[in-house]
Amino acid sequence: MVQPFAYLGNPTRFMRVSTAVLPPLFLLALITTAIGLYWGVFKAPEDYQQGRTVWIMYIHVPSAWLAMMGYGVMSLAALGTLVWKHPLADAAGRAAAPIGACFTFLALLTGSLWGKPMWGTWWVWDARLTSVLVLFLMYLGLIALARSLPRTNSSARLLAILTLIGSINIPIIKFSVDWWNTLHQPASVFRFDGPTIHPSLLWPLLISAIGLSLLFFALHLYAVQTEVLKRQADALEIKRMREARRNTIDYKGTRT
Amino acid sequence: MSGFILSSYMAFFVTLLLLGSLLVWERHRVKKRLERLRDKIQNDKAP
Repeated sequence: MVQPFAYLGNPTRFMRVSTAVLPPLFLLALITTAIGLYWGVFKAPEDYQQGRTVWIMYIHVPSAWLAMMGYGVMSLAALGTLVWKHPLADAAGRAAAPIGACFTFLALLTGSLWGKPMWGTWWVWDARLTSVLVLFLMYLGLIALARSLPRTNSSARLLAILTLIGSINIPIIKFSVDWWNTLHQPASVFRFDGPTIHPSLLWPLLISAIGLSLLFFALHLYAVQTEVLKRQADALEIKRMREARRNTIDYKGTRT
Repeated sequence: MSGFILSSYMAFFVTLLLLGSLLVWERHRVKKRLERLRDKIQNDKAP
């Protein structure tokens, strides 16, 4: 399983493969998301209790899943940095943070816009909503830290350790609705006894989720490419500074 | 009720559009930096 990651460890090879993969991946993501949303909004029946408000589910639920998956990608990248010392792992972790933060923001915002007509309130401090807010704040903290630290091995290790410490929040988010009494409903898709949503609503939801997951991976791949280019620029800058210093020393005649 | 649905979908598309624009702008900035550095290195080598 590690083999493909090792193959893409070479940045030049990674750039070549990802440049070829990106356009079809973006296209597939847009088509799948469009099909899922069209099916959910125009073809699927309305919910017998919520009416048309159930349409919010087709963007809220995939956003919430991707909020957690984004952090999962960052945690895997952190393991890649600490355990396998993969050259692209730190770049992958840094690149996933803003995308994961956006989907977490969307999950919170659309959840609030769904909560008002259904629960009668924009926000409650229950375990699910609060733990997702904590996830959003963790994303913001990691983005700020990653932007303020240089792209060195020691800062990569620091970011990886902090990311792994924060990953404890992911099972808390997932099981918060089972462990505590929450206003947020319990899981209705990924359950041991099968989904409780009617298939006519479940299928468009799953297709939207697949489309948005593909979009997540396409955006992530694009952002990792940018991180690789940043590292190339850093390397060029260091090379130029070294050459400039050598030339200065040569001119003064203190070095042969 | 439709106001909540419309707001949700608008927020969804606007946020994704902003994210996409941010990623493209960042790529553009990095490419400019790379170009500038290559030019400087070329100039340094020139006699």
